[in-house]
Amino acid sequence: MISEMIKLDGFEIYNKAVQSFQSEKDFIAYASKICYFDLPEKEKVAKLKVIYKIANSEKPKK
Amino acid sequence: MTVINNPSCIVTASNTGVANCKPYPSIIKGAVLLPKGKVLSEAECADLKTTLAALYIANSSLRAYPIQELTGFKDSSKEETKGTSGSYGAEKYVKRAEYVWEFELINGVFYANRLRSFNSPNNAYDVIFLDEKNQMWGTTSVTAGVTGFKGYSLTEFHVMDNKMADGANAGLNNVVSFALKDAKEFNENIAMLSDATVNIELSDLKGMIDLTHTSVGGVLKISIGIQKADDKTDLYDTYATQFAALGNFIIKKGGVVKSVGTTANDLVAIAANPLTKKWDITLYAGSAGTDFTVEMQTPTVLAAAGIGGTPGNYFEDVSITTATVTAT
Repeated sequence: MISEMIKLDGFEIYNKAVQSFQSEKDFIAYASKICYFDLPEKEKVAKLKVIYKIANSEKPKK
Repeated sequence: MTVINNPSCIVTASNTGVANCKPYPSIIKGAVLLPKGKVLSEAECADLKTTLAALYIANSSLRAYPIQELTGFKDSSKEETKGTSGSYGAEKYVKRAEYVWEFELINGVFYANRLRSFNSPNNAYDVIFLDEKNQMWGTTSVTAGVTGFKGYSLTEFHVMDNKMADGANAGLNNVVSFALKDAKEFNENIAMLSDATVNIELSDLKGMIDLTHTSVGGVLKISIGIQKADDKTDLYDTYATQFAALGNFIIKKGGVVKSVGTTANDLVAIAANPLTKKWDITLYAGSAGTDFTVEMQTPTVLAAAGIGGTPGNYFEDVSITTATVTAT
């Protein structure tokens, strides 16, 4: 079953919105501005990479 | 067949053997206002804790409102009235007692104001009482031959005006008065549920706590702050993660509920913001308007998200706010 939302440490995002980004880099640039993980930049990026990976692992294969 | 001129002077007498068990109401510690006429069935009484918990979060017209903790009592009842019969002066009881029970509370002036919202003659609620032995007291109600447990009918519920501290009392008390409508309900029709059968205690009489929220719109976002309505306690530190779920909120644009999606005015994300101690909802590109409204979900939905609920208090948001969102 595909979950509609991805939730991680006080941040929740619609997975199809994540899938709509062309690249991981684009998503991280966007998400960095709307989430507030109280972490050093490197760890914050690592978390967002996890979210991107989860969303795209649930993306229906073409 | 109806018999004319039959005054039905039938004397009914009960036997008078004394049983081992001699129940009486003990010191009253809590009360529950039930919607007027609400009768608890045998099945509802068998699991009273669950029954009351469901009634506390029911829709407002069906909701029960617990009151705890009662810390003092004054009996302001009028005793039965005697009258003299004829010039010989034989005395007879001509009027039953008028019960007026006054209980003290020390829950503060804001709580007293909440209870004052129930102040009314011709009260719309009945009341059941819980004593210190965890016995619940009410009255019987028979419908179609089936006996149920009902609250006492009230002629008036009233929270008296605040008093200033006088230096003698440890705390400032408020006084809540219950005037019973029918003495028969506390006498011939008295009903009790024992601790052994109901397994309920004072801590089970927890009402809901009102919340209010603020919302401020921004570029493709709405920032929401949440506080307790009475003492303005901010909920961020306790529920930062739990509130960070779009399912806890009802966002409308132009009166239409919005959900997640990838077109303008759809919801995309929510994030707890430790800098502002608010929750920021992000909207999809192109979202804009002055007609976004924010509400919070029902107490049960919030409880399912880990925000309130038994054994603690449930929360209910009582505010609807408007936010202006800009696209750039």
